[in-house]
Amino acid sequence: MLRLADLDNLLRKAEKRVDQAELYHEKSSHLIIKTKTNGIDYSMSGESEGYSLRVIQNGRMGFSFFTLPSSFEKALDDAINASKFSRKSGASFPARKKLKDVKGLYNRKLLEINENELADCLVQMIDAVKQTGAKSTENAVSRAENTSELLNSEGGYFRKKDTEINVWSSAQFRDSHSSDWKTSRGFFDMEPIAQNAADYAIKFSGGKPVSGEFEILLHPDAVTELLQNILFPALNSEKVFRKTSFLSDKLNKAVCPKDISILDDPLIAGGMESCCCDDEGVPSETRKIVDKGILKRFMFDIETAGLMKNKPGNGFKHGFSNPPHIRPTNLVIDAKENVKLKHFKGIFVYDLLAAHNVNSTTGDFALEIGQGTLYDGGMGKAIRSCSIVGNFFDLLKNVSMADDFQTRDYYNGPSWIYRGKIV
Amino acid sequence: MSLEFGEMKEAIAGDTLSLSIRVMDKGVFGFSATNNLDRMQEAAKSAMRLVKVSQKKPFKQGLSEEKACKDQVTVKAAKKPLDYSLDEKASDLLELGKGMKLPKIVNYNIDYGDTTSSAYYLNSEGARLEFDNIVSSVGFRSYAKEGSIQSAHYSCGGCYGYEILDKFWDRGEKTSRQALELLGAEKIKSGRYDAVLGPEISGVMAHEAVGHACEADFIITNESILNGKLGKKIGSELVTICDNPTLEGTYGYYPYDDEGVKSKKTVMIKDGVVNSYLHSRETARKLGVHSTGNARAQSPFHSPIVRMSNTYFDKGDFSRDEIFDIKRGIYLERSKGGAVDVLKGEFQFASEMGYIIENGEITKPVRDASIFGSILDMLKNVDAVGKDLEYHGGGHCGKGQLVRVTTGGPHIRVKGAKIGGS
Repeated sequence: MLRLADLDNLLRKAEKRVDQAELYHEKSSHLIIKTKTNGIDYSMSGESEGYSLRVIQNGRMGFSFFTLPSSFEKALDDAINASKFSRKSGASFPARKKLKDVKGLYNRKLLEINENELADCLVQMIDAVKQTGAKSTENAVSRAENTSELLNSEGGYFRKKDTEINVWSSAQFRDSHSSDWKTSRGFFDMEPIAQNAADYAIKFSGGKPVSGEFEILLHPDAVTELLQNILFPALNSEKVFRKTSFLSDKLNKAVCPKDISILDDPLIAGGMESCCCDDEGVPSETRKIVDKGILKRFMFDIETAGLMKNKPGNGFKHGFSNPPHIRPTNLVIDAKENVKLKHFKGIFVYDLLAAHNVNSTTGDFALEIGQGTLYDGGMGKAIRSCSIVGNFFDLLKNVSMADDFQTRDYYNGPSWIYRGKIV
Repeated sequence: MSLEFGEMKEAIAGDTLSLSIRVMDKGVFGFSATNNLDRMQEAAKSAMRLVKVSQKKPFKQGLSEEKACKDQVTVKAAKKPLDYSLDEKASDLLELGKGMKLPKIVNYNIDYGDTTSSAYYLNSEGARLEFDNIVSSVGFRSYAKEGSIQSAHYSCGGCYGYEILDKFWDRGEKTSRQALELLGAEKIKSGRYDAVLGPEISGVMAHEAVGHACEADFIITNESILNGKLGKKIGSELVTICDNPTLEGTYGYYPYDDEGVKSKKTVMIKDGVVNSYLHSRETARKLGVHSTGNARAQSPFHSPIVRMSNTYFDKGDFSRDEIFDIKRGIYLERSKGGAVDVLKGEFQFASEMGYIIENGEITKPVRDASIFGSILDMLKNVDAVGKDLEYHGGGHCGKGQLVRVTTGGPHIRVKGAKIGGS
């Protein structure tokens, strides 16, 4: 492992050959334990450490990655060479700035829990499912500790450290198979996850198709499928720059009802996507994407911000071997008016099958309902073999928010309600 | 390397090295991985420690008895990617992009990638395997605008070299022409139609609707609709569906799986009857059979699980004219992928592009149609299978881990398919 002084020396070497340079170092360790039916199937651990290098030469950016520190010289040659084949963006690596201290991202106690204790929790989850009459199919716990640091030739520097735990449970009841999950920065009681999975499996069993126009209640897990596959690509400044986003010409125009605001907030204490800065070193700040129904901004990394003269802050890496790409942090839905679910009557959609099959350019979708029920103040009889069809941007204009605000990983908001078609 | 609208956008290069160790004791497993060779001993110790955790309440599996193979395999490439500089590759991509720049095309992308790798597999039973592989892929996407914006894509890939650009040189322009055609396409009214599925869609059907349901890890936990159906007729006798990782040059090719078992062709459905499940050594042991050589891991950081490779709907005897002999129906030509619930036996595949069929002729283009419903109903309703088997590589299957796969099939016809549109 290279220490900060070693990284600094490598950066100095790079600086001598290019206009600007940036060196990124990432280290993570994880533990995963999985059960299958009534026993532990696998216990796995992993340690990963790697480096990436970005250079800017003549206004063009080049990227390379490596795992062996001895490969640095080759990686530098690769990055310089790659820069010749990148577009000229006018981007510059950010200088060092004061970063906010975001609380609750690192939990030492989580790391002190040993493998045997986590395995015991999983065994308790199996028992919790059995008590409901459903069958436990799979439970898993994944725990990770991640550190990353970045130095650039403009004086920019960050070091980030976090922990995370992800618990997943799936259960089966007759022809129905359902799941629940939770992510957190610290330890939590896992049994309710298994109980929810079993409860859903029982409630979603059986069922008949429905068709027609209905009031439709989308659970946050179904909402996030649509957000990830339609809204986030449309907010990506790469697409806006090329005018291939549906939202390209909608800036400062109404895109949803005026009681709704949508925020990108990396500063939430303990948030799963919270951070002091993005992976390019741009300090975190809370940003309104939609303010009272009006689209106020797109998402930028330093390259698109350079091209479009805007503020970066959404450049995040997916591992050391990938360059930063544009994505939101914690998404917060702020609605002033909420529909009381105890009065809602319609169709409840828990999840969607194959949401990656939407048309992300137009927002059109025809998606099979993975699990759903009739709803009248609560979940009723299950439905099956039917699809929701429509257009996401039409849905967004007429959406209402329910009164069940919840946090599901990066999503902080309620279920969505809209009038739509089911076939 | 990626190109956007006539100029190079990004190039990435890198090297990685990683290893994993899997240990089995009393029929259960411990697994550990690292990309730091200085930490190999610690990884081994961790795997040994974790096997004890698994033994607390084991889901006992063990491994089936298989031959311990010793071999060295090198993938052949007419043009080794490492022999071509970034300059040469960029120059070719820029030239290729020129064909995509058509009137009303407002943007287009080409994403090119190649990986040259060496993998070693050793186990305590004496297996010693070395696999030198080359994988190349290229993806095209075009955006057309006239009032609305429509986009079309095509991706391809295989275990071969830089010759991929020669093989698929015309696909860039075809993708742009398809985006233009989508400008005039409408959404089809949802309902039941007689449907002709093109090779891309019949291949996705073989993979999603049948292949996943045949994966034995879903069978041993009773999570598949095909559990208990071995030897039973589940579909039309025209339906034969296979998985074959031995097809050299394909995207899903591998000579040995990630448990060291020699790969082979598996006929999952033969003439409408369930013939075999897909197995790793773990699931094979549980069901008292031999592995089919389908254990794959995304990387050394993942443990091997049952996966498909090159999965295809086998060819039949029908001519194209016979298959399209429909009074009114839909032709789903281009695929956008799919997904399946193997327990409920329900699936959905999305089509980027299709056409209305009227009196045996292809007429108006349609977009964003999806076909969904029950796997077993659909397999029963296949009433024509063409001679024109085609393979489509370049895709990845997700099951917690991504692996390279190819899908394949001929044109097939399904009576009364459920179609979702507007």
